[in-house]
Amino acid sequence: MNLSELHPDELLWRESCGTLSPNERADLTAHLQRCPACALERVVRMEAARVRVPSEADHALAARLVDRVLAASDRRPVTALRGGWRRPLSVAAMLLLLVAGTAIAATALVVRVREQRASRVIKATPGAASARPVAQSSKDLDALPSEAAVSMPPAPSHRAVNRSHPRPLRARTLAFEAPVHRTAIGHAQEAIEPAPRPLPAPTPARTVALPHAGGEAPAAGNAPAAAADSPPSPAEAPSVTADPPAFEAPALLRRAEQARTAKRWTEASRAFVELSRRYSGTREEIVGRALYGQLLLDQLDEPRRALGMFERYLAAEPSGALAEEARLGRAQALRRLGRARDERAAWLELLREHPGSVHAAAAQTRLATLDSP
Amino acid sequence: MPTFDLPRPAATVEAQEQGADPLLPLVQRAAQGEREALARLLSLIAPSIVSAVRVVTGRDVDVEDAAQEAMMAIVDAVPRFRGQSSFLHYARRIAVRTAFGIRRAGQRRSRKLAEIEIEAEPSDAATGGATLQNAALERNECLAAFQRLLDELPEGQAESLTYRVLLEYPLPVIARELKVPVNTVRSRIRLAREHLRDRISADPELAALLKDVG
Repeated sequence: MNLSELHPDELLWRESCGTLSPNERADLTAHLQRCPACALERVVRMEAARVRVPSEADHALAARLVDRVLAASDRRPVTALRGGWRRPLSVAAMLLLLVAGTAIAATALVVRVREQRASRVIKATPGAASARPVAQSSKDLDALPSEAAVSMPPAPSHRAVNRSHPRPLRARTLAFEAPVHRTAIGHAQEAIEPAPRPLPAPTPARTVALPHAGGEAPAAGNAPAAAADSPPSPAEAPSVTADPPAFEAPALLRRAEQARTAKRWTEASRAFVELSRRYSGTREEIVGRALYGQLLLDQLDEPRRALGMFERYLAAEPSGALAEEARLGRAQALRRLGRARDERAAWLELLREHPGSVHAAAAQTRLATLDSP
Repeated sequence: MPTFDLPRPAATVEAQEQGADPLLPLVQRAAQGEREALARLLSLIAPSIVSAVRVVTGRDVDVEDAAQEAMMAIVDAVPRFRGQSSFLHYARRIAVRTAFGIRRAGQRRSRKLAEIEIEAEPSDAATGGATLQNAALERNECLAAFQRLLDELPEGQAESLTYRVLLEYPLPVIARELKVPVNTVRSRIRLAREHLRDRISADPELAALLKDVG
């Protein structure tokens, strides 16, 4: 008998659903005794079912992730547009490239035809021999292999200058203004403006733009975070200190979160304080209040300051993504401070505002304790 | 706040597919660019996504990183949601695939290291067998072993078994997820079990662990 045909998938399934009859249970038990794969699967099903139920840690992690993802999403265009504009924009960029390429080719063709006509005229005249060295020098200048290139001086000279100059500042400025657009717009810009541009000298605006372009990369990868971690160079420091741009707030929040995740509490605390001091009222700073409150409460044993953070968060965003966690934190902080009446009110508010909360059972239990004589 | 974190995904999936998706209005508003709707939507599904990622990735992968990547993928996928299943189901599928991809990518990158770990693991279990007095720890050990064994399977089999065992999806739902006939899913799961059986039989430490748990 082939054991492979006897794996009782349905019985395993129904056992996990709790709908096995006694006879079926006996059959399953007998099979499990001789089939280690199903025995393992049975244990794993039970364990997976346990792991799948989100724990408090999962909820806290989920709240952090939501804010992180939203912050990253804020730095990109609106969601609805993101799926819709990318393709049209890339098509437009390609069309522009195509049109520009066609225009260049047409220009080259016209130039070539004119030159052929001119050379025919020159050949017909006594001074024809002088025309050839000019074309040859053009070839040497641009090192273009094709004969067509040799015979169209204007276009090659553009390319030669273009090669010698890197991306113009305007493209970098566009990257500063709209990082997600920068590739397509940069290409389109290059397609529209193939003409040589002088390389500009570094300006104060550029020193600000550079860290932004690094910190604003989409998808919140590790590279931008690393960039945010590195201290600014002395050249950049004055402009940043003088007028802190709002785009640094996400990087600062990310730095605080990274430090917190890595259990570098002091560094995380410092980053949260800096966030609060420099970017008060920004979305990142408001989110940071709840996260800093958790840090103060759970790790730094400062329930009073934690309470202040939670209350400030709730004052700003009573229905925010972290409101449930903030209300939980507030109740816990009040408990640590021994303010039983306020704690009771905090638990009641948690239950009222988040009736389906995973913390509801804990809240009920604590309320019962508080209410008991 | 409605709870979307039922311990029985099968029940969740079936119930939500029979009735109207409670998340649909939020999804539609989020797809139109409403930030608050997106925030609310993510807040509702995030715990379920985190736990799904955790159960798929196991302890060899950083759950936070994987869950963040999954959430980013879900945000990107909101405008593409066509309502063919519940949004939670859709999001969980993205999360599972992201987590699965991360786990597999990690395996590819450090296959040799993984092999060393697989070899090293039984000795840990052997020395720790006496100290593992907690049955929960042993079950967790079984889950980790199962996840490692999944890595040895062909992708189709591993995915099918993941949905069936780790997420407890019904066979027709798995078939639809993987876009294959139900009998193909059955066949893949059967083959996967065969592999597991052979692998456990060849690994006395794992068999002993299983015996302890059983």
